[in-house]
Amino acid sequence: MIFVGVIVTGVALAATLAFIAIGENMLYFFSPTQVKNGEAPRERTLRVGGLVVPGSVAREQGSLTVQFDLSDNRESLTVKYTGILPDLFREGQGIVATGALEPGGTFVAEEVLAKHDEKYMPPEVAEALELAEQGGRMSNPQE
Amino acid sequence: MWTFFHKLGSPPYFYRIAGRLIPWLGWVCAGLLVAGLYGGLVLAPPDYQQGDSYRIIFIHVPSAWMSLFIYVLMAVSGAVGLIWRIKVAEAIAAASAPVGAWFTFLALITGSLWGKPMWGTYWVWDARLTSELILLFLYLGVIGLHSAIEDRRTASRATAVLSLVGLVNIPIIHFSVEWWNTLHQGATVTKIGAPSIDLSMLLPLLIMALGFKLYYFMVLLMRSRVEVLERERGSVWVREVVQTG
Amino acid sequence: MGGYGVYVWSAYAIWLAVMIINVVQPAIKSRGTLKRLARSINQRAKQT
Repeated sequence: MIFVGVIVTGVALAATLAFIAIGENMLYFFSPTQVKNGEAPRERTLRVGGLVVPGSVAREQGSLTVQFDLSDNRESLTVKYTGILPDLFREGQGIVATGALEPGGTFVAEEVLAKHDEKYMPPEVAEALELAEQGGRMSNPQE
Repeated sequence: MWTFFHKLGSPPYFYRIAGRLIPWLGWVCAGLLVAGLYGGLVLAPPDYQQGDSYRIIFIHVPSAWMSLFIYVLMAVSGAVGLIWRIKVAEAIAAASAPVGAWFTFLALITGSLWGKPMWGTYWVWDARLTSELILLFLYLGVIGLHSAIEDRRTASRATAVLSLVGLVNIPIIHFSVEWWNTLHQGATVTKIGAPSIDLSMLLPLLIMALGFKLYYFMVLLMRSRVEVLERERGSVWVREVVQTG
Repeated sequence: MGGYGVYVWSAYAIWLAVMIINVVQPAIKSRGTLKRLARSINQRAKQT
C-alpha cells in the first residue's frame, strides 16, 4: 500500500506541475492590444495570437521572410517571420506566433502556428454559405 | 435485467457468454470499419480549408473518444471490484488498461500527424495535448503497478485506487479547449447545439466511432477471458474448460 | 490526398497496425494460457 501511495502522489505531482507549466505559458500569451498598451515584456520570449489582417501579407523577394499584421479586431501588430509557414496560414486565419518584440515594436517570430476552427465542410458548402452571407448583407444595405 | 448482471458476475458464465459474443462483435465491427473507411476516405469530400488532411479525423477523434471512455470504464469497474469484490469486474478493469493505452497512443500520434501540416508543428504543450499525454502516463502507471504486484487481487485493488485518482484528468481533457487558450480547436460533435460538421463527414465519423467501440468490447472480452482463467485457475470450472479444449 | 498523402496514409497505417496487434496479442495469450493451465492440471492429476 505504501508503493501505491508513492505512485499516486507521483502521478498527482507530475500532473500538477504540468498544469502549472501550462498556466505559466498562458501568462506569456498576449493579444495585439496588450502589446500596444505596453503590457508585454520586451526582452523575453512571448507568444502573441490573433487574426492575419487580409491584404497585409508581404513576402520578401527571394527569401522565406514574410511580414504581416496580426489583429484582435481592435489593435494590430506587425509580425516578421523567416521560415516555412503552416499550410493553414492565410489571410483572416487565426495564428499563434512565438518570438520577441523588437525595440521598434515589430514582433520577430521564431515560430508561427496556425489555429483552425472546429468546423468541417466541403468547399461547395463553404462557398454557398459565403454567398448567402453576402446576399443577406445586400438585402440589408443599412447594416 | 438484474439477474443477468448477477449471472455475468459469475466467472464461468462470463467466460462462456464472452466466448460466444466475440465472433459476432468481430464481424459487426469489421463491417462498420470498412463502411466508415469507405465513407471517410472515398465518399466524403475534402474540407474547405484543410483539404484532404482532415481525413485523419476519422481515426483521430474516435481514438480520442475511446481513450476517455475506456478510462472511465476501467475506473468504474475497478471501483466495483474494490467495493463488492467481484472478480469479473477486476478482470475487466485489468483488461481495459492496455487497450486504453493503445487508443491514447493512437490519438496522440494521429493528432501529431495532422498537426504537422495544419498547425505547423508535431507537438505543442497546450492543455489538450498535455492532458492527453498525462492520460497515457496514467494508463502506463496502471499497467506498471498491476504487473509489479504478484497477487492479482491485491494488484487489482491497488490499480483501482490509482485509476480512481486519475479520474480527475478526464473532465480536464474534455474541457481543456474551453478553460485554456489552446491551439487545439474546440469540440465539434460533443457540444451543445448542432455539430459544426457537414453530414457527409459526420456520418463516416460516427460509423467509425461505433466500430471502434465494438472493437474495444471485443478485445476487452478476449483479454478478460484470459484474466478470468488466470484468476480462477484452481477452480473446477476452469479444469473443465481446459480439458474440453 | 492532395499533397497530404504522407501524413494521412502513415496515420492510417499506424492505426491499422495497432488494431491488428490488439487482436492478435490476446488471441496468442489465450492459447498460451489454456496450454499452460492444461499442463499444470495434468501434472497435478499424475501426482495424486
